[in-house]
Amino acid sequence: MLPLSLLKTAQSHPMLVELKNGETYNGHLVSCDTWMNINLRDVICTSKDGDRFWRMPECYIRGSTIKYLRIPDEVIDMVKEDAQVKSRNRAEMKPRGGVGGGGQNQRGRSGGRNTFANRGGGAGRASSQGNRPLAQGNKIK
Amino acid sequence: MSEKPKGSGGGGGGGDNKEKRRKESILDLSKYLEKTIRVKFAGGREAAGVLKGYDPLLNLVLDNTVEYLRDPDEPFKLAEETRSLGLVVCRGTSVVLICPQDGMESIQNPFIAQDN
Amino acid sequence: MDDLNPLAGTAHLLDEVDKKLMVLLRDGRTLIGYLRSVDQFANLVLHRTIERIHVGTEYGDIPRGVFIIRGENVVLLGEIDREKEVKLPLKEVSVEEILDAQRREQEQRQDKHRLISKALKERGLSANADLISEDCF
Repeated sequence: MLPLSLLKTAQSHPMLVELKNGETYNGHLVSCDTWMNINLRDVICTSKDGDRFWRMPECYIRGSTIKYLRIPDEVIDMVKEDAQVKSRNRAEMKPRGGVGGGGQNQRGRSGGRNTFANRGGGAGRASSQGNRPLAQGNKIK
Repeated sequence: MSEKPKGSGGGGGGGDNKEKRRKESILDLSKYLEKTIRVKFAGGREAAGVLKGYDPLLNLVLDNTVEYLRDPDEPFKLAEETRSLGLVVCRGTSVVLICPQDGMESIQNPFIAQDN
Repeated sequence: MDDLNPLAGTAHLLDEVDKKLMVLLRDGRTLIGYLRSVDQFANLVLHRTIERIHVGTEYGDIPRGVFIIRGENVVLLGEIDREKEVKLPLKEVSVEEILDAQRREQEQRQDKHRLISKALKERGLSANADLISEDCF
């Protein structure tokens, strides 16, 4: 699971983004792209010194200005589950692939994988409920 | 990806789709047209203005722009003062952050309440 | 030959995956966590991360969870030698204590910066941004 895939998995989850200039943004990830550009919603911006705060309904951040992102623990658990389920799925499907016919088998396989992926995502989301936004970074007041 | 001639049947369709995804920015600036947006720049400058135009490289045209000035001793701390810049073109490569000005407000520390 | 490999340079980082590593950021912060993933830009995923703050011979650890770090902000990254770690003359203190010590240290540094820029101004020079910036590297 590459860093950017993990970020993609974290969509709709709360996160903390620190920019290179030291400002931090707490919000929910709406979308991201391969340049790490991100859209956040329900954002709280904290100044570098940690003593001034702004609320913004949404914001777009250029990926190249990001220092790091902190995401909730359960997102990494989600991808772990996902990877496990996928590899199990592959192991189960492979022998059957040999038995079944060509085209039919292909369709059946991808369908099965999707079902599992959905289940994994659902469980992850359920467990994320009631999760508090990430606590503030090490701001020195 | 290498350029493929358009309309090359089924395979071309897939390529088109991919190209579309590549081109489509995750930021839809059209929703901000004629609205005031707040822009932060590399180096710490900040401005707000009415979005008149944009391109995919994030170059922006802002009207009635005001720049939020900073303390000369602390270049990343915003002072209260502003200066009016009027109609400006913002270079996309230096844009760090874009958000709607409407709904952006300075607030008290929201994390203290949360910790208690 | 190796140049043809798109992962050349970062490839050896893959050997470090799932090891407990220390990562030093450009802003001087130290993170310690399990490396879960790396890409061609040396972006990192750190799991069960703690931030370790050092002030003098004291240090404190703050749990921070999962990090996705943009590779360009990393100064160095390496495994901690546990044998050597226990022999170091460092003392672990509580989070509150270390944050307090860090705040005092930062205030001192700021005072110093203020003095320097004042002195420079009096001599008709402008304060060098590099001196004020907290970018350590």
